Amino acid sequence: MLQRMLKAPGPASMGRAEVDAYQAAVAHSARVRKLRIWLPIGAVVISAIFISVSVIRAYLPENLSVESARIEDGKIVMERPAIAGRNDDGISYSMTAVRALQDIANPNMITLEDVKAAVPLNVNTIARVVATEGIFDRGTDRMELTAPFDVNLSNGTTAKFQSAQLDVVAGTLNTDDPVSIDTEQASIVAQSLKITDKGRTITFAGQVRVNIEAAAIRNRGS
Amino acid sequence: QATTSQMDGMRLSNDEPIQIESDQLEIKEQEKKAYFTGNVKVVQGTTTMRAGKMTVLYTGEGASMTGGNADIEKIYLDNKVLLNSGTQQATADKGEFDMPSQTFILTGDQVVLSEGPNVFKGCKLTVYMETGEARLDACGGRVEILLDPKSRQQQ
Repeated sequence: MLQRMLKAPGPASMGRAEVDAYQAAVAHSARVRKLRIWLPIGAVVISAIFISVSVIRAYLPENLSVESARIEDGKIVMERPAIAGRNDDGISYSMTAVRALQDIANPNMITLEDVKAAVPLNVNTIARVVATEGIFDRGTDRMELTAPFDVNLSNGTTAKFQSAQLDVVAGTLNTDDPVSIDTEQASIVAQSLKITDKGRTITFAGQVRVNIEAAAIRNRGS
Repeated sequence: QATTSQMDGMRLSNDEPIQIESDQLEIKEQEKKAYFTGNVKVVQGTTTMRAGKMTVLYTGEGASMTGGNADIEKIYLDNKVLLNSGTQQATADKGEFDMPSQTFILTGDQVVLSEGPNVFKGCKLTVYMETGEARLDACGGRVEILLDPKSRQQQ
């Protein structure tokens, strides 16, 4: 009803001032009517944006940085991806690769080429992994190393693997293929290895051979 | 009543590495223990020792078996211990190496020490690794000594 009146110059009996005031009131209520519609819509839109940003933030690990990315035959090819984060004990872990291929159909699985990873096994031991190829499952933070690779522990121990499954966050590593570990005073060779309990329990199985250098005994003997 | 003999092979030679073989090795870094289980065989120089299970206790602050800076403190041997050293052989149920005191003790219902043809039976064999001297105790019972007649003529 008011719209109709809006067009009309105002009731004939009203003076000029009254007409202006009246039209201002009508315009205001029109504005309020508009706002009553747009304000809620605006609120919804803004919160939607906010939610989507945080969802993406959750999926795309914020600690993943990529130099450049392009799509090539159904795969996202990332150059120099680097991922970092903290494990349960708050010790930082990091992983970089020369190239990463992420299947668009299954975005959690990332194939990494020429990987370098620093995995905290426990408070005072960090394992540095250098591997030619690895498949990283972002959903479980687990890495499947399919090609032979080396692990250098910060306590001077070096380990040579044929393959392994590495849980970056939990700090566990196991392999069913031969492994050899060398320290200054001893060397251990076995058919399989499991490092669990954040590096505190190391289990070798299958034809275990341990060689302890004479030096290790000498300081004990004298 | 005990009998002593010389087990030179058991003298801890400090210049020879030790090789250990087993089916499994589990290292518990926090407890500073390494459990060798299944067909355990330890070889150093001419001495070979076999057991079903061997537990190594090591010490050293922050020492870790894989870190290499571990000092062996004690070694326990279980499930039948067989010790071969030169012409001497000893069998027992259990064995214990105590590194600080440099002694190696074999115990069991029947500890059998044989030197060539001669066989001695007792229940505890103590070997002092610095000198290689071995002492077989009968713990109450009598040490059974079976001297091979031929060996007596040689002495």
